[in-house]
This record gives sequence, structure tokens and C-alpha cells, in this order.
Amino acid sequence: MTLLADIREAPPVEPGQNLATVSNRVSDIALRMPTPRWWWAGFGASFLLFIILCIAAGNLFVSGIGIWGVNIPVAWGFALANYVWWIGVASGGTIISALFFITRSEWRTAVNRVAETMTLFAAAAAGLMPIFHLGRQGLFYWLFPYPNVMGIWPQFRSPLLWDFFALLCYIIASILFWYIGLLPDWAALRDRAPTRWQQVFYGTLACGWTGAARHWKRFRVVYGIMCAFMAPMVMSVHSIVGLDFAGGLTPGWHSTQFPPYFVFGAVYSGFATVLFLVLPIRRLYRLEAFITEYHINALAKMMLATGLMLTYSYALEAFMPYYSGNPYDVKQIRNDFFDLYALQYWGKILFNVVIPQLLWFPRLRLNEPLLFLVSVGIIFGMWLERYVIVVSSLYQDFMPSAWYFFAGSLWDWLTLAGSIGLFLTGIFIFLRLVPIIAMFEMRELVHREEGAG
Amino acid sequence: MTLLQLRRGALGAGLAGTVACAIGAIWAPQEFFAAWLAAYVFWLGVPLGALALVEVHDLTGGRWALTVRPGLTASLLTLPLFILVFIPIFFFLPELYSWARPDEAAYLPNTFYLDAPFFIGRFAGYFVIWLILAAIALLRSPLDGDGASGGLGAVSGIGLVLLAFTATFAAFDWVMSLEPHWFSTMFGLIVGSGQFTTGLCVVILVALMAKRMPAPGEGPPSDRFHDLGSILLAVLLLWAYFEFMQFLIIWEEDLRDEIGWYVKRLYGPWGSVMLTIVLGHFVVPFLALIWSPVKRSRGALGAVCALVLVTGLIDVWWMVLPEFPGGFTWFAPVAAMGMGGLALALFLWRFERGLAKAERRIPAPRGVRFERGVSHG
Repeated sequence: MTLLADIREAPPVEPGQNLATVSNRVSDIALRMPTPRWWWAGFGASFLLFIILCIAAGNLFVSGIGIWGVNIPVAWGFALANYVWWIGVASGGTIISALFFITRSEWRTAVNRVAETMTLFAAAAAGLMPIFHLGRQGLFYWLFPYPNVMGIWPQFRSPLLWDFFALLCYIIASILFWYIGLLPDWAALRDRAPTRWQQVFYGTLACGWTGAARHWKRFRVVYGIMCAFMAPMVMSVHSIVGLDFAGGLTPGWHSTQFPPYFVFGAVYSGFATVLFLVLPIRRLYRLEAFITEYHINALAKMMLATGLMLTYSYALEAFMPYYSGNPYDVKQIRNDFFDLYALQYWGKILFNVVIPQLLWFPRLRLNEPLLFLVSVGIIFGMWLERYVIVVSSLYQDFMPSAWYFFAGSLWDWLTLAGSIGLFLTGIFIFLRLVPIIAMFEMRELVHREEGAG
Repeated sequence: MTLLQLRRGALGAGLAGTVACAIGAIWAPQEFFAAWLAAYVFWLGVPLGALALVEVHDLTGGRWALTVRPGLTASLLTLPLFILVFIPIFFFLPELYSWARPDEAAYLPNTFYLDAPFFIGRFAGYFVIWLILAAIALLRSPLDGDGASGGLGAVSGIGLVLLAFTATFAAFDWVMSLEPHWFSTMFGLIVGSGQFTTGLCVVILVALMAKRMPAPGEGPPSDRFHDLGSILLAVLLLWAYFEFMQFLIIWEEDLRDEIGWYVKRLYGPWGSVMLTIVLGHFVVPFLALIWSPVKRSRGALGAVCALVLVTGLIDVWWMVLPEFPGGFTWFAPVAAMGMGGLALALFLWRFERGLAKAERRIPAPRGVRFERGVSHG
């Protein structure tokens, strides 16, 4: 698929690379390179945040949800906003990796490993949030329908239950997808490992992969099926997240476009997070030959396209209350525009709609610092979007007697910061131990390019 | 059957259907307009779907466009017809829309939007935008040579954004406002993806039927039909997704203002119509198209496209006709035949010229640009 009309000259791999240089460059990062100083700094900071998450969670388990800012009617506060935000980032990663494998997009090859890894840790951060939110976390298994002496079953018609199943399947499938995609590369690392512990470590992970023709044949089949399975699965997972909201009576939530609206937002934040990770990684690890301007341009364009789809949903979200004339819906959207959470609402419009329009211009698209800032803005804007959807729809319910102003407590913010720490800690460990570019797919691409040239 | 015979037949059917409808409308104006509107929403998918395909191709590229290129051009050129055939509706808005009847509109909260002059103004706005986009696509888009994207880049990007918004609001105006109390934010995506499916199926079918199809470039043509089949599968999946999500959300909430729309369409005879749509517009084509040999066989792919087209028409009937006390009348198929015949005759007339020009230029190695010639001719 030719995605890029104006930059078709830029090759997906810089010239001068061959099969050996690909494996050498990428595997050396994991095997031989001394740990760089920036890695220790980044990992240290992330790990500090991760410890904060442990403290916040510990306090939550001991003291209960009272330490958060939530109260009726704003029963879904930070935890749910964080959950939707993280699961969105995760879904975006899977879409990039699985969907664009099916469409045979060349630009996916260099970034799919980063995208899959991002999915893994974002899904982990997402999965924690509903558990935290339960209140009695130890009884989380009650979500699961199992025969019990009380004869109590979950409500099978509730999207919240489907969400539990969907998330569980999604996390398991994401781990498998990531791991299976890594098998040939684990083996490559094992064969190149200079020290004994590395041989044992990567050898164990490689599960006896020898690169035999039969292994490759089975691998191709399994990977193709996994992709064909993951792409619709991730759509349905995030649609169910949308249904969690759309299935409520709450003005601002009950809207039929919510499933695709949430999927658009998920893919959008996924592209932003991939760019947020890839832009520094390619510079710090000097991988400019493999992650080229071609990839950056393609990712930026896809990000712009999904941003426009999200803009479509924002526009309908603002139009439909006035069309329907439902007084509660009208009040809800007017609250968004002008009331207590207007700053967050206009913030999301600024970061998700206005600023990304810069990406229409190829020159700005390829300006890496600017693109990095736009991506960070989008990640932040997407969190604001989730926050506005969750909080602004709840704080002035049908009953004026129950109106309530929600603001996150210190522990809310620490949990959010800590979940970022969890994500980044995972990413840093990955950066050190795992080949950050799918070497075997890259070799295939180089081989094709050589053949074409 | 040659293309010429097909064209004559289409023209004959078109004129006969239109005349029959016009005569019948004297006695049953509301039934006529309901059927006419349904036919309109269905057949408008031909130019709008083509427009979307041209712009998507511009942005993403792909060799499949070579196969359907003459069909896309001819589809775009049917757009002006759809201004003409809507004009009668302007004079009889109260027959179709309760918001145009003053006594009923008095109770509506949304008359700021559902108002006859504004409605006509919006119609004009949609068509100005569509005609400009179609003109740009015809004059500038070089869907040629190696099948790489045409380099319209930003123009096509902006075009798709405009198309998404105009098609959405057109669906709200023409179909959703038949029940002015009912609303759904998903509705534009449902109607739009349905129209896109129609446009895609028409160009695939015509490309399959035209045996003299010019095939510049290498590779067996069956590969390109394979890609087209995959695109059709993806679009059908999207359509089904939108349609099902809207249903699920409205069904599980069961609210007074919303469920009424489905109550009319799920019970009684329309309920079995819905099952037909589910089977014919999703289940059967889905099962067929995930099987690769179907996408490579001209006959099988053609049969799938024909099925999707027929059930697409039934789907539009299912959306439009239950709003009227008359329901399904003889007008529905006759209006669809009349308007479709006229559109098809215009389409084939352009299509043949496109083919003839393309054939003359086949020896040229690259850069076959016959769109410009067609649009001038």
C-alpha cells in the first residue's frame, strides 16, 4: 500500500543495510551495548513513579476508596478515566500491529514491536484500574460467573460484565501475540549471546526455535491467524468500553456513536503513544537507518486521519443534543461548553482537534521536536477527553439535589502518576532486554528492497 | 447482452418506471414520494460511493483502482441527475416530512433545524460540495499508470472530511427526520457506509461484466478482483458493526423516544425483512468473501455483489417505508427501477466512452489519462 504520495522517494530502509547489519545493529542493543546513562536516569524516574503506584494502591487497599475524590453521583472518577485512557493506548498498539499486517503496510515493520510492547504494558495499567475501583478488591473474582452456594450470577446483559471478559481475553491474547511474534528474535539473540546467562535466558524464551523450514511455516500460519483474530478483537474490546457508557441513561453517555467514537480515540492515542516512544528511541539508539522518515511520516499521517475521525464524533456529540431537544442532553453539552469542566473540555478540543491540524503540512510533520510535542499533547488531550466524559456527565445528574463537584484528591493524582510509572518501567525494561525492532521482519523487508533495487 | 443493449434496456426501464410513478402519484402522492425517496437514497450511493473510493485511493493507493477506473469515472458523472430527481420532493415536503406540516411541527423541539427553507439550503450546500469534489476528482486525479496514488494528498483528505460531514447530515435530513423525534448519532455512519457499499458493488459488477475491460499493467486481473473483494468484505463488516451497535444500544436502553423506531421495524412483516437484510447484506456475503476462491471467480464475486445490491435496496426500504401508513407499495420497486434505469443509462453511456478511449490508448505504456477526455466529451 502506498500511503505516501509526497515522500515516496524516502525508502522504508536506508540504503546500505543488508541482512547482517539488521541483526547486528538490533541484537547488539540487547546483548553487547553497555547500559547507557540515559537509560538509568529514565528507568530510575519511572521506577520511582512505580513505587508511588504501589504506595497509592497499598493505601487504597487498607483505607478504601474514601481516599479518592469520588462520591455519589460522581462514582466513576479517575479510575475509570484512567482505565479508558490506558486501554485506548493499548488498543491503538494492537491496531497498528495487527490491522496493518493484514493490509500489508510496509511502514508497520519497523514499529510493530514497539507498538505491541506498548500494548502489553498499557493493558496492564488499564487492567489494574477497574480492580482498584471495586472497593473490595479481594472479591474481584465475583465478577466471574462461577457456580456458588449463594446462587448469585452476574448480570449477563450488562456491558460491564462483557467488559470484564473482553479485557481478560484481550490481555491474554496481547501477551501471546507479543510473545509469538518474538520467537524468531529470541532465538536470534540466543545464538548471538556472548555470555552464559544471556544464552540461558534467551534460550529459554526461544522455546527451542531452530529456524527450521517447518518452524517458519507454522509460524507464518499462526501469526497470520493471530493478526486476523486480534484486529476484530481489539475493535470489539474498545467498543465494549464505549458500551459501558452508552448503555447508561446518563446524558452525555447515552449516544449510539459511542463504540466507534471510542475506537477512533483509542487508535488516535495509540498512534500518539507510538510516536512518543519511537521518536526518542530511534535517536537514542541510533536506529535512523531502520526507523526512517518514511515511518514517521506515515505514522503522523495516520494520526492526523484518526484525529479527523474523532473530530467527526466530537461534532456530532455537540450537534445531537440540540437536534434532539432533550433538555438534559442540552444542559449536558452546555455544561461542557461553559461550566465547571469547560477548561478540560476546551483543552481536549485544543490538543486533539486544533493543534494536530499542523500535521497537514509535510514540513511540520517531519519536524521531530514539533511532532513529539504534538503527540504528547494528544496523549494528554485524550486523557482530558476521558476525564470530561466520565466526570462532566455525572456531576450534575437528573436530580439537582444530588449535584456534586468532583475534583481528584492527592491519591487520585498519585495513582495516575503511578500508572504512568508502571507503563514506563515496563517500556524501559523492554528497551534493555528485547530486540526493539522485529529483526526477522526487517530482514525480509531489506531482502525485498534489495530485490527491487 | 452487449453494453449497448443494456443501455437501451436501462433507458427504457427508467422511462417506463418514472412515467408509471408519475401517473400513480396523482392518486397516491405520499406512497409515491416515500418510494421515490427510498430509491433516491439507495441510488445516490453510486456517485457518492465512487467519490469516496476515488479519494480513499488517492490517499492509500493500490492497484485495484485500475480495474474499476472507467466505472468510477462514469459513476461520478451521474451526480447531476440526482439534483434533478430530488426537485419534485421540494414541492411536496409535507407529504414526506411531518415537520413540514405546520400543525405537527408546532410540538417539535428542533424546528430550528427541520425547516423547509433551511432544508433546501442544506440540499444545495451538499450538492455544491459534492459537485466541486467530483469535478476535482475527474479533472485532476490521475488514477493512472502504475495504480499508485494520484498525488491529490491534502485535497483528498479535505474532500473526505467534507464528504463525511455532508453525507451524515444528508442522512439526517432525508431519512432520520422522517421521524423527527428520533435521533441517533450513529445514523450518518450507517447510511453512509450503506451508500459506500452500493457504489462499490456497482463498479465491481460493471467491471466484471465488461469483458473488453482494458487491463494496463501486469498481473492477472483476477488478483485485482481479489483486492476489490477484500475491500467489499471490510466495508460490509463496518456497515454491520455500525448497524448492530446502534441497535444494541437502543435495544438495551429501551427508552420511549428511541425504541419506537425499532418497534416499527422489528415486528410484523418488517421483522422478517430485517432478517433478510441481516442474512443477505452481511452473513452470506461475509461467509462467501472470507473464502479466497470466491474473490477470484468472476461469477461468484458478481453474485455476491448482486446480492449485496438487492439487499442494500431492501435495507433502504426498511429504513424509509415503515414511517408511512402505506408501507411497502408497488411504487417501491417501480421507483427504484425508474430512477436506477435512468442512472444506469447515463452511467453506461459514459462508461462506453471511457472504455473506447481507454482501448485506443492501451498501447501507451504508462500514464493513461482518459478521465479528462471523458469529462470534456
